[in-house]
Amino acid sequence: MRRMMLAAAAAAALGAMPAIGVSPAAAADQPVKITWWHAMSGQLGQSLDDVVAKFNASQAKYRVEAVNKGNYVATLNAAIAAYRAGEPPHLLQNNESGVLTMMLSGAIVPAHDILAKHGIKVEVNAYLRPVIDTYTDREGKLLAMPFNSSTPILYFNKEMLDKAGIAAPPATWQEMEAQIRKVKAAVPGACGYSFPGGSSTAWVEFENFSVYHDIPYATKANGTGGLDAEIVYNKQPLLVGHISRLKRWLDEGLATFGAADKATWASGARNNFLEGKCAFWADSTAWHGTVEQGAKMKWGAGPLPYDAAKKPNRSMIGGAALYSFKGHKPEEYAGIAEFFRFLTSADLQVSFHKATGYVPITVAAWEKAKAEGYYKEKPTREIAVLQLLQGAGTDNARCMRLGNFENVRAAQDEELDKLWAGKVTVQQALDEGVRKANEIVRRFAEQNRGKI
Amino acid sequence: MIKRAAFRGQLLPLLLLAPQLLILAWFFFWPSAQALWQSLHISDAFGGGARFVGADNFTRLWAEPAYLLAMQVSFLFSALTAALAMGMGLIFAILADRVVRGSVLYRTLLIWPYAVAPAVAGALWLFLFHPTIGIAAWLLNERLGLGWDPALNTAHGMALVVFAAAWKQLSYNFVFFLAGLAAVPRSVIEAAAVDGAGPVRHVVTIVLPLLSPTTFFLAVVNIVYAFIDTFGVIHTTTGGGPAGFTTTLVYKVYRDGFVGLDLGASAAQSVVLMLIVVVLTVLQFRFIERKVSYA
Repeated sequence: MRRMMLAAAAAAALGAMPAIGVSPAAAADQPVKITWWHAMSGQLGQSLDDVVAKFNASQAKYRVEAVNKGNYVATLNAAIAAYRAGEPPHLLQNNESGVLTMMLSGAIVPAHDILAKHGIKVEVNAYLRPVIDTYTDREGKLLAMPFNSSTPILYFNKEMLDKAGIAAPPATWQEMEAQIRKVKAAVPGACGYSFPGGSSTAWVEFENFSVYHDIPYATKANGTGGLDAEIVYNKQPLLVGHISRLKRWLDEGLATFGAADKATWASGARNNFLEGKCAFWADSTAWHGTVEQGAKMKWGAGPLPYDAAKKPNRSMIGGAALYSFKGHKPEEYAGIAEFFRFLTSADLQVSFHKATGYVPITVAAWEKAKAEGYYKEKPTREIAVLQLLQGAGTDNARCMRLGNFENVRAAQDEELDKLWAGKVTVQQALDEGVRKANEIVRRFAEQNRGKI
Repeated sequence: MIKRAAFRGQLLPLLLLAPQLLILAWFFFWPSAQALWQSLHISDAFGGGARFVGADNFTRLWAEPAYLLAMQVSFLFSALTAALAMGMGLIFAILADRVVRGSVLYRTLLIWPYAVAPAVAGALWLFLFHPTIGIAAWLLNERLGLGWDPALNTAHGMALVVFAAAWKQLSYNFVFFLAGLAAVPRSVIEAAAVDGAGPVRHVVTIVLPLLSPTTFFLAVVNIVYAFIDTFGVIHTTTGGGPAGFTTTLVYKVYRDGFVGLDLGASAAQSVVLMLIVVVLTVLQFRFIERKVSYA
């Protein structure tokens, strides 16, 4: 009897399930959903959410949903896993170190193609060249829509410099050393150069240093010319000299790590500067918002210093762009094209630039900000743009396009650990880092044999 | 006579086992087969363009100094973690065994760390030993003048991950040792006391040999734990640094596969890691089990 009742109840439950299943919604008037996986959190994440909210409010046909998946590495891995499972997101934010990986993946639809299909032409000269060149393939096709781009500048503690009787920030690293000594004499206990170490070192002191001084980081225009490029920065005396200088500064106390713990080197360096402990800090212009709100002292900013031995060319970007994956529906690609068009509008560019400190991507946006008098009000915001546009677009000015570049940076970072601990010389650390890096680059070439 | 459950026919037992077998197949056999397949191929970051390369991914490992370093780090880390976890587990079990009042409280508190996930354990220890904000780090630096720096000092980095990993496994060992101690016959303990055995003699000559089945079992489990289950601890504390001196084999599998996006090499490393653990376990069973005296 009990068994029969149980069986009847089970049958009733199973029978009721279709009724509580998914009800077919009136799909016709639902906006087309576009998922965007990004890597921005905190204040920058909020600015990103604002951009998405503006787009969604401006029209009713498409709806972008932005999801933060962690940092760039975690976001890329999530996208790879999703792609292999056949369910990629519509848009992926990936940074400049992943351009070659994305380009050869066969998984993306170039932004150029999506835009062309919907009648939008990409005018290369309407954009800041260093920005758009980073995400363009060898045939000149735009692979991804640039979203956030920045370049390192020099932030300085105005109060400390005033106390030391210094009128203007240093133009060269040699000048900076002299200024640090003056500051340390005038302000007891002051730290000179707030050194982030870790991955910030790679971008500022290796990659940007090479680009800024028009010396090669790698052959074949920093890898743009082919998969068989070779990393050669360890053979450049100017770069070796710069790293030796940093090591000497650390040993002499002219530069200090941000924290004793490697995990917080970068944020520690930033916090030390914001709290007014350090005179100089070289990092991305995108930190403007944080510095404006969090600096406990009067601050200023200037262009990235150069080595007095060579006049600087232009610096290079860091940041990310939006890639679109294959395998989506035509109306979704139409929505992506609309979103791309929205992103390049001068109004949005100017508001994003003001909110975050990332550079405006288009010349029109830069001109608009100038016309509004924004740079008269906040002159430090323009430093990055001018730094990116000065000089000429030489081969060495190209952003690095090397395979598995995050791994290259990690290998170099490991060798630098030994250098900071005093276990190896500068040349040894650089040589070993480059040896490992070239193996990684060759492995990538093997993995992608026959593709280009 | 041993009581056994008896089933008429084959269908019902198969049906009852089916969910577990399905989970095993889905989450273990299928991924393992895929890892094996991937270790024999070279492919790009998105898994496309896979080319068969035979044993090439494996032979390349031995030529890589970073891999040999990871091998050394793994063995050192596992030996230290297993020794520390088992040693402390045994000491706590012996002490807890003697406690009469509040014994339930002590045992409960000593067992709790096992419920903590490895990544959380790592984060907890990072907070304690963080050179800038950690209390333990402050003690080490201010009171002992040690210059605690797990970011650049390789010995300090290894010490941090060993302590964090051993702390987690300690409770597991504690539970088993406690049960093993409870199984020591009272007659033997009383006879030893009558013969005038002091506490050290008591432990070394009487208790440890009788505990040997438990110790052997825990040795196998601890070694496997230290080789494979400690990824979370390392990832949240040192991240494999400094200079790769806390990058164990399992951490290198993650680094090469998910940061380096080299699926072939990562899969080859995971196959080798599995073989190492299997060989270690077989060796333990072959050579050490002989010395275990089962009651």
